[in-house]
Amino acid sequence: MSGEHRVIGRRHRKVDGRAKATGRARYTADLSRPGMLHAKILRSPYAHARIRSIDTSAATVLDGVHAVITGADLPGTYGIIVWTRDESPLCVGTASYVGDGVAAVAAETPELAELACRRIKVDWEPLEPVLSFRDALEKPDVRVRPGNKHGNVTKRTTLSFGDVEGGLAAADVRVAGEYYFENTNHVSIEPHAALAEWDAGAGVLTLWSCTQVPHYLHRELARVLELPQSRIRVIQPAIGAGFGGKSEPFDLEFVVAKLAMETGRPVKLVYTREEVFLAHRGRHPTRMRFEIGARRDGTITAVRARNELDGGAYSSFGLVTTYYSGQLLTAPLGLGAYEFSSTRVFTNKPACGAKRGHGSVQPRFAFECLLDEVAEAIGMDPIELRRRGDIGGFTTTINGQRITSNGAVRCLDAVEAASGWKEKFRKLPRGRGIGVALSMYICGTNYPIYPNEMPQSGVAVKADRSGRVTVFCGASDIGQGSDTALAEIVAEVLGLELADVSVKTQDTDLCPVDLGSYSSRVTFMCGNAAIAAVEQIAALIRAHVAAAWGCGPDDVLLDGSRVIDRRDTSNSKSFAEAVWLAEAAEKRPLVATGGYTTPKLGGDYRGGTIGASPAYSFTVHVAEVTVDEATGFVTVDKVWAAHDCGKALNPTVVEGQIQGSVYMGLGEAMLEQQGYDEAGRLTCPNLVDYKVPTAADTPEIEALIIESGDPEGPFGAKEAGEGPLHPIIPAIANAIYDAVGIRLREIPFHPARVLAALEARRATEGTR
Amino acid sequence: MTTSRVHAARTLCTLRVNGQTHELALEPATTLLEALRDHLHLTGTKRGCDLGDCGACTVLVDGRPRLSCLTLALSVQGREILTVEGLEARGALSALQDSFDRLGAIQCGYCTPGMLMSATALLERNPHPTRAEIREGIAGNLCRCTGYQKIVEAIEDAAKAREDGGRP
Amino acid sequence: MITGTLTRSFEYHRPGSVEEASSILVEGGGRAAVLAGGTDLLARVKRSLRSLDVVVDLGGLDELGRIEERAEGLFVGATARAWEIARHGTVAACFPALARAAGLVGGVQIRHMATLGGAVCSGLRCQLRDQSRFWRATIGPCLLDGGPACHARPGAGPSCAATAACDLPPALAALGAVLEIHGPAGRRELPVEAAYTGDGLRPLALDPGEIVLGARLPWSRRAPLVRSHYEKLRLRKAVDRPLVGVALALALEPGGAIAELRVAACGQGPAVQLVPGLEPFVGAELTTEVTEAIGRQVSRWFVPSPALRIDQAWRRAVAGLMVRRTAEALARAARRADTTASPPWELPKT
Repeated sequence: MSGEHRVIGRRHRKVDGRAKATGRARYTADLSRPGMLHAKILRSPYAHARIRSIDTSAATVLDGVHAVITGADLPGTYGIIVWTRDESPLCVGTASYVGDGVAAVAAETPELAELACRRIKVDWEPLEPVLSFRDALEKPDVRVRPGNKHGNVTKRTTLSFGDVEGGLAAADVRVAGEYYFENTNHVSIEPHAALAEWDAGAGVLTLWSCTQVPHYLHRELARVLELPQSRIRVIQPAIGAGFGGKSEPFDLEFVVAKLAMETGRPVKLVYTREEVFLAHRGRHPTRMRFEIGARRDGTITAVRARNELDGGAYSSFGLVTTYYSGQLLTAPLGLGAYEFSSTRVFTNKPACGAKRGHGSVQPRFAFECLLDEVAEAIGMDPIELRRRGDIGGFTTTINGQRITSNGAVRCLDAVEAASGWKEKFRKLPRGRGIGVALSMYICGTNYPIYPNEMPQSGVAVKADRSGRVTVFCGASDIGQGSDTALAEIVAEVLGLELADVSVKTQDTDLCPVDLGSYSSRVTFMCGNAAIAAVEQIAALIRAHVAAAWGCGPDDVLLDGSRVIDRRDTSNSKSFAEAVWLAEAAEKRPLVATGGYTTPKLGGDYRGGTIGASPAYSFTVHVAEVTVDEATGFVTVDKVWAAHDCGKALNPTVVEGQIQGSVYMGLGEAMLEQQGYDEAGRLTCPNLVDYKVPTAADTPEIEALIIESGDPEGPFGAKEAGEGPLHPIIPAIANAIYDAVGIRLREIPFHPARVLAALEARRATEGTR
Repeated sequence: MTTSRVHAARTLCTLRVNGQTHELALEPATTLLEALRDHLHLTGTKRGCDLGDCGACTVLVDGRPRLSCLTLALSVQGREILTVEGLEARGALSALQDSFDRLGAIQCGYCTPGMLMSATALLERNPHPTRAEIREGIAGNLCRCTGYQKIVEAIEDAAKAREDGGRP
Repeated sequence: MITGTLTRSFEYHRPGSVEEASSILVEGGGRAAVLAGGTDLLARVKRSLRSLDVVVDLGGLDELGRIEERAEGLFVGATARAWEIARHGTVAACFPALARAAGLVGGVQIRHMATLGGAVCSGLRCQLRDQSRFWRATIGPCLLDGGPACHARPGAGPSCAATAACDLPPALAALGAVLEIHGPAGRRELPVEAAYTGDGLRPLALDPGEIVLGARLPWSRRAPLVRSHYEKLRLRKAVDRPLVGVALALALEPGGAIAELRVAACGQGPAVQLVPGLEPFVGAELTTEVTEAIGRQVSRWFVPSPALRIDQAWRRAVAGLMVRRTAEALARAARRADTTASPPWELPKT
């Protein structure tokens, strides 16, 4: 497999591995600057309340307090989606959830800043809160976002493809169910952190932040701080993971910037764990009503879905989430007809946004569970059902999405063999079961978050006279290994060792724009941009070395950090010498840039570009479980996860993405729940009450890499960071059914819920 | 004057960290985590929750894994404290560090220092742990990136490397 | 603004004798606290759940860290760590419930820190109070903080619903352990279950300045036939404190009849309690009917604390089931005359 490549496809160490293994990697919270102050944010105790007045005098007078700001000091609005900028760094007039920022303090120590916050007097007028989807529709007079056009509805969309009524009528079997997907948080182990420094003389602001989207942050900072964007520099230190939880601007970034400008001193703020939960942007809790019609041969004749998304207090990514809740369900199984209607509402709770597998994890749960019911109803093996329904590669889905490479069937084959499926399905002893589910996901989207014609990813490559090559790119390595992927691509094309390549991805002063680490876009888009850039360097070197050697450029081989004459391999130069030669001939440094822009994609209808991606990844999971019928405890014993990533640039990294995705979905299936009480307070603002799986709760996860080789992916690669999360939840639900015969339609599968379902079934069986 | 913390009385304190002795003047409420990060600038030890629930701040005190966010610096005077910065020997990674790096056990890296300390303690007391024992040995360290799979494999690999006469 | 850092400044003492520790505590009054493992106290201080002026670190008192065999029983010192208790040979051989309870405490780090004394004396668990100062400000003061009612049980008058959620005390109580206490008035002893008042506002029957020195586990007169076991209910397989913790200690006559039966539990409220009403089972054989009846008795008696937000009916049902399963496993082990019972749920790991 890796025969044709020397770097790509091999299990190299990550370029940042050693720094992270030794504690030398510096994260934002690790930084300090001379004279640095610490900031804290005062947060609303009410889910919905008007601010009559704020008296900061008791805070300001404290010795050691340097500045106090309120919403009046930062009235500008921001938001990740440019059409729905509805957030302010600190509340202007009204607080919209328990934890909404109201005022902020910069002081000598974090403790003093907190004390000062407590001395700020806010005169509150509590308002009636909207705390549920139903509330949002039934209390139109209570407006979470008064400026919103349609009551508390953020976005409503209905898209219909084909004849759904006819498809359902033509079905041999129809299955339907109502499903609920709980609100969950990303829980990156690194809390959000930001540090700002203001150079008053130059009028330049430098902001360090563990953001996943430095470019969007850069834009929004300029807007809210009313500074030219050219006077702002955003730097990302090492990032302690994101999973979508750091993929939009947050209050702290504006607050430290403003406080630094006010005080003339560097200001840092690190969220507490509770603030991470309050900032949220996690999975939208979603109620889904699905109906599927199928023929006896397994053909899906029609699917109808109704999705209700509780979005929390702000728009966040909600516009996109609403579309994603329907748009990403149309492959790899072909649907005869499809209609979805999705409604997202505002409620007085922390805003929901993008979490790993943005928007499409919820409907996959419903759809793949119901497919299991279809399979049972027609007496077909659920793997076979999915195999037969696969639409194949290089085709178009019913909603107009262009599918290129498709390894879904190979994924099905792989997990079927690895898991011993045929010996286990419906054959394990009672209490043990096995289940399967399938999914697809995007490799970035052709929808740039703000309309523009510029490339979605830019890379610059510089070959130094030393022979060292530096890659510059605005991408954010949040742990997924994008820096390593960039280094591997450049090393591969130039025939270098990984150690010869330096990656600079942390600084808007240095790096061409990349839109950020979200939508699983980085490998595909930055990878292609990097290839475009580095191939120019390779071409220059080949051309000038060939001229010197009197051969054709194709006779010049780049390998082993050398240039080698293919005609006579004893004739070679070091790569550095080749750079000298090329630079002397060119009379300019060897620097090249490359960009990536998606081809024009998407269906020709409103919303048709949302979910349109240059390529799609495919995943199949099989989960094996044990259910204790007396207590309701479900143990996931083992997971087999096959993922079509196109081409594994680094198999170790890809396996890690698959395993981490399985784990994160497993946590949602089994334990995690971001709940609120009747007043809109978080019921789980810490890591005791919000339960993420420990190593002891996590099964062995076998990652199986499937390489379909995408014609447009860099070296054939597609994404691996989000797609592999989707199937685990329905796979576990289907395994529980195989084990004990109950259909769970609500996550998490807490033992109390499982036991209640078992008892309900026993009761109905008893009455039969 | 309400700013008690800023002007609180400090106590002289001697900490032994990674084989070096440091004399510090600390407020009694200073945690070991704060002493390491804010006073000794050893920022390898991470703060993930500050309440003892995530394990990112794990260090070894006399060889035993402890949560430095729930340990008063004054209470561990004279004890041998080992942090992630002390795992390398003359620039060479420990067997665990090497296995973590080589086998993909590090993604974002934020849990890594604490995870390495728990794993170091595990292999000290149990040089040949089973997978279940490894999982139990690191259960107090939350990781959100890896699904623990490659961490478990790396610890297993390091145990073998140590057995084969490699580095500690 | 929600902080995790220690916002309070306090005096730190590391006394060289129990007497000195006691007198510092008396002087400090309600704003002095004993520091043992720190896992409970420091988390509380960070959340401003406790205001402290004086911290008395027992870490300098080596004699409190010992586990030693004495004529009247095994003494486990107050600052012995869960880690040591779990791996101590005599504890494992003679008091397996305690060894297992200690092995199931927290994660590895917590086991290396948490102490026996801390487990007995540490604060109660309440999901409506064990939160940040910010969070508590949004809900207002609870009964413990001078408010009019308990947030977890608002209609129930002035009683606090917080619950003991600790592994060691149920095991100690089932095994008949006695606390050795030093105080200004001298030394005294107290059965573990008697150390709990049942009143969340003042959960411990300790006087000002009193310090738990350790627990003494009496040697059994029926040594080879005594069986004990501890089970905990929690959502995660590690780290979590018990939603329900049950310990069962059993002595059987040579013929198999029950000679002694003690079951203790936490998870109902502020007290670790012995399950009442088990006397009728003494003299009975440990048949399936009897183990089921014991389980039913526990389910009838066990009322889960509303201070934890986990389904109460489920906790109640499973508490009885845990005891039944434990009794069955102990009965099986006794029949096989094994020296250790096979754990019915999961293997203890350390």
